[in-house]
Amino acid sequence: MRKPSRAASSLLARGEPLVWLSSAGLVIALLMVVSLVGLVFYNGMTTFWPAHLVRIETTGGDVLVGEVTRHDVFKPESSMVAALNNQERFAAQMEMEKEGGYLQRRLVRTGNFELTNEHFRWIEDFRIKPDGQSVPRWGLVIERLSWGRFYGEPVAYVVDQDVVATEAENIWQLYQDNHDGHHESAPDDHYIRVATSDGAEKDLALTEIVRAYAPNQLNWWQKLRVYSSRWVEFLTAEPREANSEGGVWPALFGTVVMTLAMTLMVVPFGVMAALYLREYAEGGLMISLVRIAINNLAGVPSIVFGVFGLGFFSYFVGGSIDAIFFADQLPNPTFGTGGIMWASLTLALLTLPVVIVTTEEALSAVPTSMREGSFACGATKWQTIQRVVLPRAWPGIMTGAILAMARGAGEVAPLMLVGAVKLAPDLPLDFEFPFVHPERSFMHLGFHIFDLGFQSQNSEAAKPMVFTTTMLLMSIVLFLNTAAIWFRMRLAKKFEGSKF
Amino acid sequence: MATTKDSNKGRSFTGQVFQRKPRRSVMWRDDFARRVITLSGIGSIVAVSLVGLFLVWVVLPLFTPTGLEETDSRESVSYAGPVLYQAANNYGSLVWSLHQDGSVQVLDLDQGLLVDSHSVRSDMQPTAWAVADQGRRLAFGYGDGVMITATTEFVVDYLDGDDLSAEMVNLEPGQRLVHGRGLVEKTNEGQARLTTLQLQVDKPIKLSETPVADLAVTVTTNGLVVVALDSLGGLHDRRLTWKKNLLTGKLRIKSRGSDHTATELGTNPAHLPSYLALNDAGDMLLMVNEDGQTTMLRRDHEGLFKPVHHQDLLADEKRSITSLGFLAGQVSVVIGDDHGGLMVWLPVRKQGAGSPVMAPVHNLTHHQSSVTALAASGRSRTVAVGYADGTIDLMHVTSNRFIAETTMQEGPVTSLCIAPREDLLLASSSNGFATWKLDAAHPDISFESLLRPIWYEGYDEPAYVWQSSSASDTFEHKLSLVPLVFGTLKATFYSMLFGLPLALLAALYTSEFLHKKTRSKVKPVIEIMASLPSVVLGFLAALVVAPLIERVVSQTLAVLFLAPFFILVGSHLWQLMPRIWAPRLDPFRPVAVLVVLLVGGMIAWQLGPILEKLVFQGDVRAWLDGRLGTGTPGWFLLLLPGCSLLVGWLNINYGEGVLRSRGLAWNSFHLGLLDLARLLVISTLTVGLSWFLAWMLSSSGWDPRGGLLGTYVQRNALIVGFAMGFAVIPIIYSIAEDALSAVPDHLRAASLGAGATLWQTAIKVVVPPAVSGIFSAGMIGLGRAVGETMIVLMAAGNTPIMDMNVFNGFRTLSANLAVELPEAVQHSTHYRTLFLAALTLFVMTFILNTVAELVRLHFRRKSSRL
Repeated sequence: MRKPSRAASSLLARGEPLVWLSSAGLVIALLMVVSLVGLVFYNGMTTFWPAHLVRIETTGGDVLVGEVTRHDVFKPESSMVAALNNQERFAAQMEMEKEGGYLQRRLVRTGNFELTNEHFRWIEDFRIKPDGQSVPRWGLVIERLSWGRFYGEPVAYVVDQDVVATEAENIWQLYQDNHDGHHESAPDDHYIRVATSDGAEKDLALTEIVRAYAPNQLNWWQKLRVYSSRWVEFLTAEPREANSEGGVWPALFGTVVMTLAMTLMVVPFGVMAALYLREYAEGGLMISLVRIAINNLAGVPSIVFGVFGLGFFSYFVGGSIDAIFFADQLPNPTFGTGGIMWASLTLALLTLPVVIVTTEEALSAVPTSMREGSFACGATKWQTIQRVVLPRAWPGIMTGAILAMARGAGEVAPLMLVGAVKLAPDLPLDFEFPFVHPERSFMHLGFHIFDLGFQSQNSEAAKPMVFTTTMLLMSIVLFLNTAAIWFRMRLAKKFEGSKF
Repeated sequence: MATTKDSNKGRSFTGQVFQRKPRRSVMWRDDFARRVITLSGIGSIVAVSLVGLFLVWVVLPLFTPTGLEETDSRESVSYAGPVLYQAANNYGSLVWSLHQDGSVQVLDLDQGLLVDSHSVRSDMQPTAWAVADQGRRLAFGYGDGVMITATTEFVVDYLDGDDLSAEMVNLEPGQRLVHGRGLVEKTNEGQARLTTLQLQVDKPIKLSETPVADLAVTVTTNGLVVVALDSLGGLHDRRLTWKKNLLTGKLRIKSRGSDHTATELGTNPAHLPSYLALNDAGDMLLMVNEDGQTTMLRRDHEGLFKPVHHQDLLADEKRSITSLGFLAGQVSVVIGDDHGGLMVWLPVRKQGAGSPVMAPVHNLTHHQSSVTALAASGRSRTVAVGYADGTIDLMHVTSNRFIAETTMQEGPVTSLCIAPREDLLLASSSNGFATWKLDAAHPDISFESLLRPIWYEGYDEPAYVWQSSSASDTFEHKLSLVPLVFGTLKATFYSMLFGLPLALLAALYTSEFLHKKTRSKVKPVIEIMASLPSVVLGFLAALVVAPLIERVVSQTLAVLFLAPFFILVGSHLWQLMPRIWAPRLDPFRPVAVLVVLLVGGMIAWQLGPILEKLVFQGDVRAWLDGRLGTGTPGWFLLLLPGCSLLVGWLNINYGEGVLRSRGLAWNSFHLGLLDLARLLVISTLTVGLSWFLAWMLSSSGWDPRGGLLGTYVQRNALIVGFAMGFAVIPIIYSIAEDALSAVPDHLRAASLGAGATLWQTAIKVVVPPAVSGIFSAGMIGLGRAVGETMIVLMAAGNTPIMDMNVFNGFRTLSANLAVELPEAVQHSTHYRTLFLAALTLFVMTFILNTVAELVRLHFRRKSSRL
């Protein structure tokens, strides 16, 4: 007889390597979520924090002032090294020898676009003079309505072409007295004269300045004030500089209005469809086929709904409306093109299956015994539904509605076809008669991200904005989803002990 | 029963009488609610199903046959002699015709009235003529060796005020009236539009002393190129440019060029070519004899025509060419012979040959009678063919589609014309003309052109091409869905390759090895991943991950391939731990895995450049470009996963038993050590095996580069696969986890009670009943991957190429819709083809989801029996 050895057999039977592999699957999946959310939130949160201004002198004699955006390691082409002058080549080769063929470089945001025609400059470390880095005390960061940021040191304060002050402290004091954070209310003949790193001087009108500060003098609290004022601007202002500066207010507003309009349309119809399927329809093959079809439609790609929305709502329905009511404006379309109404209708169709399925689930979770009890007391079907079934199913229905909202807020592909645009001149709701403009195209956070990241000429400057916008969109969607999950858990808990 | 009920009626114990019937308002409300809910319920369901139906409705016209309806047929006595060439105006109301005597006559198509007549040269009849640019440019050759070029233009004028006669004012919109030398038509806006033909004749140019025998003309960016053949076989090549005199404002014609004698060209003057064909750029000339013998001439670097090639364009000796013409764009040549043969020839660059030769690309033969007339449409590759017996065929060349056929009553068709908007077909015979209303909305779409390789102009072989727009007017849509479907499948494949195993393993671990409390926290986190907007994933993949990975290709590859190995090593080290600790430490296994992953990842990262030096001769990307080394390392990487699975399987089935029986006497620590040694041995074996196989493959001449591997492009399938993982993993995970958790606990309890380990229970007891649920999870994940838009739009590079290469981009159906649909003109062929792409996506996902749903229902029924 074989002598059983428990330890030996169970070691191999435990299948530890395979358990580890499946555990690795879970760990990697979790790591992916956490690192993605972390990456977006880290970048999004730090974007607006004022960075130090540095002044860099290169061995070539260039002087630049700006914010260092990031550091990078790269492998230089041999032709690039060969093109350097002796001193630089020596420094570069020294560094390459030490680092195994790699060189350090940094991306400096130099601003002053109208003078230099560039927003950013790469500076290799070997080009920097040994003691060429300093932190200028009076380096100013000036955010303007146009042309992007300006970096420089104050030279004079000018009122109507008269120089009023030349001391940096006095200039700064005068600036702060006259500019209270709102460029609209600044006196219109006041200028601040700023010298750039290469000695050029420029008069900047106070009315053009959104915000100015001397980052190297700020303490933590003052930085926090700049930071929060930027956040306020981000959330409430219109975009500037081809969307790469300023705020996302129109996009945020468009997203919220579109999502709410969609929810208002989808929830009643979705709930009624679910009620019909669950409470009224006679069971049978037909109903189970319909149910399968609805489940399927929840999996149909969103872009297909976008194609449908464009072809059916915009061109077919909108075109017909135009032909009947707005014939005088043709061939310029009024309703016959993308618009917020068509967008929300399209998304309503897209999310309808989600709402139907979740509502049905919630309805079926209401025990039949409760319905029977209600009927036995003489209630009609509608009374039963209204007073017994719906209240019980309410958390489930809310879950469906919130899930639909989250899906609608995060969906971009169909919106590209039915009305989201990179810059909408007017909001879909305003104080102009008739106050609601369902035919207007609108801005959307998701489309804003796509547009900033891919269609922007100055993508490096736009990148921080993309991250903050992404963070905003993700926060909205994650908040809605967490709410849905919470509702679902509450539902599960509530019914756990209450089955007859 | 009935009696008791009756006897109880109206009586009650307390003396109070209850109303047995509900109030009317309650009943009314109930009824109302029922109606409203039924109506809107069915309405919403119908509305959703409308999506598919609407797509079909938009797509259908692509495949409906073209209508050809005869509108007019009359004998025209006003024509002087047979018609050589005709061209209609944009509105299909006027047509001008060119006649043997060199006159240009303008005819009103409503009534067949002669409206206007022009003559290019009054003293002589032309001996040769040629047209270009859909009849807008003409060239005539004469018996005295003179060549005259002319320009025709339909001039449109809107009449108002004094010019309007009472008759014109009373016209209904759409009605027409002959007015002077033109035709007045009332537009829908109520304006009177006068169309007249303007013929502008240029100064004559003397070419030779002998009569001009044949002519060819083409419009280039600078002016005209005219090639003339005189009766002695001499070739006269002229480039005409127009200069505006700055002082007088007059246009002056400037002519440059060269003359070649027949001997220079090596042609036989006694056997002159009957057709000249000059291509769109004016740098290739075909001299075609009636028997098909053809000389191809090309301009050399000095701009002089030189014969480069002779070939026979007719296979059959007995046949002779009766008709020759260009398709729009002047690249494809259509040749018709006296037996009804109709071939389309294209200049094709054969491999190894320097200059292109003509190749027969499309055979359109459809009829027995001699081909007498050809006319190409100006906006598509549609061609109308007239035969000697009066038959007229209409076909689309590129898609090989026969569109329609009609007949003309009287005799051979001498001339044909397709109106510029492709809405009218015009035919002339020797003594009359006839018109047909044409509805050729989408002639270029057929199942063949959508799904089969098509030989397009400018291509050297049939190809699958998606190219929907270009700057050129004569450009042809190339709408093959195959590259897009290929892109979709490629994206799906790589995202599933990455996402499916991860998601299933994670689901298994969550449901079988995690504590209930941890599980309830982990699941929502992964479900949150499902809600991440795909635009965010796309943005991060394209702007953060792709540029990063591009710089660290070797490190990435090292991490990808070494991570599983480190996990296995970690698990074997974990086994060495005393068994008694296990119950306490098992919940921390994921933490250990995380540590091993991080440490292993860092080691692999450091090893990356070293391995790159060892395996890829120091530069992966140069190797991928094909600049370095042999195919062995590539095969090695490709074969490694397969080999490790094979070796692992062999090991479990054959090695494990040996080890178990031998290891009975060992204690668990020593057995663990032995197991670790075994791991190292089989890893070495795996590496050796795959290197050997790779070496075999590459030494037998196979190189993975150009196939599965190739030049590294920043936005590629690897990046997309990774980013799509975020979209696919949570869906698969969540459904698969549900399926596993739904397996009743008593099965687990029984298995564990009988002495099985957790792993044995999971694999042998829990997974089998849940397999159909897991399968449906995979299908639904597949459906999501197929339709995902934003990630591929941003991270896949969006070039519609068919390249298997992992490191190259692609374009999917969905991204294509997002890119092109906003620009597509409503109801155009392009628009409808895009709807067809959407329908394809719809059907693909619908099938996948239906299968998943059916499997899931089956699973539910099965598991309820457990």
